[in-house]
Amino acid sequence: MNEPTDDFLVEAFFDSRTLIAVRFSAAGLPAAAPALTLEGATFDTWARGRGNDAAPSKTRWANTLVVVAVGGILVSIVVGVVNSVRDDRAAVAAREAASRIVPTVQSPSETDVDGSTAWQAGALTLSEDLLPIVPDLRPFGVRILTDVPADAGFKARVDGSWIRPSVAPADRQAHDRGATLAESLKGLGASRDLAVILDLPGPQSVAAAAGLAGFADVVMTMDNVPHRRGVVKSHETLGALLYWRPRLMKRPTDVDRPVVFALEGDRLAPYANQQDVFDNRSTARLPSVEAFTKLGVKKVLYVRPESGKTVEQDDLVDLFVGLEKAGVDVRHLGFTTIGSPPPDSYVTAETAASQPASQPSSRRATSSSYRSGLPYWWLYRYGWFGGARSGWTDTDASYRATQRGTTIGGRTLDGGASQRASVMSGLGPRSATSTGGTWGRGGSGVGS
Amino acid sequence: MSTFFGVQLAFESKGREELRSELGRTVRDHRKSTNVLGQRQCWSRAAAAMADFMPQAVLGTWDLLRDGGPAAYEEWASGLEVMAGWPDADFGRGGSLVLVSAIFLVETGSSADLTLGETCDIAEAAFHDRATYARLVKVFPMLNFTQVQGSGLYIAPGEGLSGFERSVLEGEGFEYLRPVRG
Repeated sequence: MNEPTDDFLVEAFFDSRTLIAVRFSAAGLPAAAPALTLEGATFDTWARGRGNDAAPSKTRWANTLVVVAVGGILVSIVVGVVNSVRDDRAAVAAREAASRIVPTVQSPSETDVDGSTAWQAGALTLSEDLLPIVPDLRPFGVRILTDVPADAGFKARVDGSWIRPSVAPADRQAHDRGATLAESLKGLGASRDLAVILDLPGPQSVAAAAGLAGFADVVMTMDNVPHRRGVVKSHETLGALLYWRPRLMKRPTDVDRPVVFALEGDRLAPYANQQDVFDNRSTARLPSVEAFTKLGVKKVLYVRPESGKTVEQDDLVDLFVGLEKAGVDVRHLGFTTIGSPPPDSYVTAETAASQPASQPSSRRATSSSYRSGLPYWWLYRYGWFGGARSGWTDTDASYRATQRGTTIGGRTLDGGASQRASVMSGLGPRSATSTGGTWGRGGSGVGS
Repeated sequence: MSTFFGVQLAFESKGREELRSELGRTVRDHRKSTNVLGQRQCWSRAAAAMADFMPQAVLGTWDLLRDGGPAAYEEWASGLEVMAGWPDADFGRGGSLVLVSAIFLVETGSSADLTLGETCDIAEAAFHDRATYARLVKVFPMLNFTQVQGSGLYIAPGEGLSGFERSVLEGEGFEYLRPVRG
């Protein structure tokens, strides 16, 4: 919203039917009130008001907002809205107004993936439930998104809340692909030296991770705070976490299994300082090169939505180049390639490499028989797990990270306390201190 | 440590619609006033408009808090900004009062803080005198804005509604507002 050299930042701006306002904060200082922007619309924030759950208030000012600062990033949490009303009609109007301020979940589900409504209680322990099984991996889990239900004061009463499970057809497909990937890696004997980085749209990263969870150890790294007008639709990602939570909680019994880092693929979604959009973007938070090698990782499978589009996101360039320099292979996998039949050129090359040239062509494997006989072609092409005999390669397989200029630097974690993503912990809702229609009187000068 | 200073006044706008439009322009014009000079200009305009319309002030309150300043700032800001989501009915019917609020958070012990302290050194009996409010709003541009940590200017309702009905501002939730005297 402002140039970094500005003395003040515009923390909030309203130009609506009911309020015209601007609020500034000094640049470089944590804001003392929520960061909001609204123009010609309703009050806009990300957390659901407690509505009728809140205790009756003496004033309409009470039960309003709590602010938290998260690692230098401002986050606003609404813990209540107008609930002091003078009659039933006003109460209905207030509730209607409150209902307009929350994010809209596009594909809500009443239950989680197992058909259970017990997800309400589970939402409060989401971060703990999704801890990796291997202790060494736990410092790399990012709790910003998974702590939201607990930090927002989320309770069992959830009717009408945006904090709810969600699942879209694309998510289910992503889950199936994740399960196929798990099955394939299991079949090939993949172990702890492999790290899979899922860099897909948030809900699909979550769903794919759920498909992998029974086989691999999953580390959630979503670092985006939900907001109704957020650049990143992280409320949808949170919905996916709630939906797939039971599957994500499945743990491999063998600790010598690959690790999966699930990223919010839309974390760097385009944003151009629009006044009506909340900038909730973030950069990836993954282990550093040193931490990856310390974890024993020697191969990284970087999963992006499409095959052939191998350019990594800007915030990962430095990490991937560093990994390559450290001797860690980083390879690209188009998500839609998983489980797909091999291209004819691959079949031809591999068939030629595996069979004597004198063999009658009628006995060579056809494309369809090759599929059933070699379902892992999309993993073989990297030269891992034995590798393709022909040396056949394509854009994905030949991908190598190269240094390039980016506008965004990545952030990596050292596994230590210095960058632990636990800053939201313990910052739940609080009661407003307003009493009798005044605002916390006291101090040196009082006007009423 | 931070000191909070806030002033809230309800102005009768009937026949003086220019108050809201002038303050609205101030807000919009100074949305991009993100340097010290711009801040001073913004608050000079706001103070001038509020001072000009002081005869129309009917209800008001103010606070200077050296303890719990950030929390007070947050509460004022939050309480005011939630009004953006109010249904029209909450403003009453056919009202003409415009509620204008100015809030500041300044570094405790700074010259800005001392300026506020001197300005607010007022006998309790005169807390809600019109002259007091005039004195208070004039301090806005006198602050050293390099020591201002946060500030906000709020006009409610916006230009889409006529104003607050007086009974609303004298009723539940606004008990702290006192008649402006003199």
